Amino acid sequence: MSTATATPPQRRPSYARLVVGQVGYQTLLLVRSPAGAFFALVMPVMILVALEFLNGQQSLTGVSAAQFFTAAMIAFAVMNAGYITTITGTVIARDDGILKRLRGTPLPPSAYFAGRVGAAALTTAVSVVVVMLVGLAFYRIDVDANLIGVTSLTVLVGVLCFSSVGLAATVLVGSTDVALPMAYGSLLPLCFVSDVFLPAGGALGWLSTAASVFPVKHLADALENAFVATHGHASLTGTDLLVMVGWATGALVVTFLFFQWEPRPSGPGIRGRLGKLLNDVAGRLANIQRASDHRR
Amino acid sequence: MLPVAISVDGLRKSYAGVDALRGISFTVASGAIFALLGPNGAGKTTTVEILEGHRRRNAGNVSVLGLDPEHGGRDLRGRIGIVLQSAGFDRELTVSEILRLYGDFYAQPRPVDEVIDIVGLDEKRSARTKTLSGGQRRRLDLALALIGDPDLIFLDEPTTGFDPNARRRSWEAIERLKALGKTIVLTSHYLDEVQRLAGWVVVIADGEVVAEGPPSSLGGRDVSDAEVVFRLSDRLCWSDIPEAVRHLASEKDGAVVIHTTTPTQVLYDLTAWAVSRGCELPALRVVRPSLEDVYLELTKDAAEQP
Repeated sequence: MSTATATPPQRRPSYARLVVGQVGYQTLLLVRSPAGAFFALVMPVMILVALEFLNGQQSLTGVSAAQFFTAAMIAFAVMNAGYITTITGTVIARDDGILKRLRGTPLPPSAYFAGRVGAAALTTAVSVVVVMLVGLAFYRIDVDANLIGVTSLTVLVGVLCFSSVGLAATVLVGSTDVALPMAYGSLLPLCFVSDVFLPAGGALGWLSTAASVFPVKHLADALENAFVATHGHASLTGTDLLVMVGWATGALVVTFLFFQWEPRPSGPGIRGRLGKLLNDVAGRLANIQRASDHRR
Repeated sequence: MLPVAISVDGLRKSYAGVDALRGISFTVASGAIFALLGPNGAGKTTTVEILEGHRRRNAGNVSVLGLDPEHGGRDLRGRIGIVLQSAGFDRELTVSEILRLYGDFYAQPRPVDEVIDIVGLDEKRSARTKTLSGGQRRRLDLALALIGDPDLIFLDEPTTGFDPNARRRSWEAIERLKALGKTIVLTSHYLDEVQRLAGWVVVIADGEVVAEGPPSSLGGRDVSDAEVVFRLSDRLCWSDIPEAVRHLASEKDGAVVIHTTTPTQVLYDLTAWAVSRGCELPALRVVRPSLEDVYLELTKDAAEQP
């Protein structure tokens, strides 16, 4: 048996190039999918406009509603593009067998994850800029360089956190059918107890304490601080950022250990079960028909 | 290049305590078309997915291009191409976009246009994948397996669901790949496909290898009993058949069937007798078991299980 002849040295594509390719790929997918683009880009602006319309004249605990709601919608944009879009996009790709196909190529898993996070960051950036522009143009929010700096850092850490948690959460999501309900089902209740849609201190005491374990409250608080609490003197609390970094780290560990690349073996879903039932009923009716024909 | 592309020795795999593979062994020569044949649930896909690195084994030694697929990582994945039995595409990307995307993963990808040409998707180059027909999707599957210019290609039931023309075209494409020196591992349950393409076949049933060899002699079909068959006629009745062969013969639907391990001798006896009587033996032929007969016999036990 001869030994392997030396293969010519092959230049593998650099890791950075692979990640940039993945970011471009994920972003292109989002832009071309109407649902994805709607949830990530349009929805925060839509809700901002609706909330402004309903509450625009009021002042919430002494600050302008516009200022508060803009911060809230930036937080919402981070969570939509980070958490919701990452979960739905990844589960669809998994159930369609796209992830399994990718796993059979030399693309390192971490480059795929980085692509997801990077695309979420890019989408969030666009979404945040749009929310800010709408706030500036129509609701005359106050913005200064300090606020922009603090907001940028918070958004960056936030999107890293929420897209990582989204990747980890796909481990729990059984199928494409339940991806969106599970994503919003886990996010929205947390939003309501985490002072996203109300100024800090609005929620019940014990709920608020419970919520402070999760990253939603820290994202919302950090952004609210930037826009409202120290109006004109945006500041940043290290705790909020640290909690988000902590969640991101934990989520990435879970992702690297448990992420699933293959479609879940699925039993019949609700539609499948309903179809089988209808099929059975049709079969029985046909038998009865045949039996009565026979008697005649 | 190693003379052996794949070697598998004592491979075992079980799912939740149920044995899917019970210690199978085989080797695949470099540059060959190798087929894994077997009924559904026999363990074909499990075997191939272990070789591809998609699944871990419970026991046994496996070497693919000199690497263990469980630990081969990027080095191995860069040298193999995989056509999965069912895997989707991003619906909103075009054929050439997907090929460019996947090509970027490899050290030396083939040019996108060349691959599109090989699989015959020229007209669909700019079409989004959601508009492709079933056969076109399968061709894109193959294109994605080829884009990295792999040494070894896995094709898991590559023509299932094809119409006869599409199958013929795929066979030609697979033969072209062999001509380029690629090693091809094929799973199939189409016997004509295996007969046409493969140089070596391993039949697995119920997680075990039940036969292996070239398709022409699989299960000893080249040396097994042959049947010499002809019809009786007005001028030719049963009692006319010469003694030497009559004890081997049986009658079936008006035809005489002679089971023999020495068809040459039987033919000599029969034809000498017929010529001497000046009559023709109607519908005379020698029949050997087809690949299908051998396959059905080999996998009979597995098929009878619930």
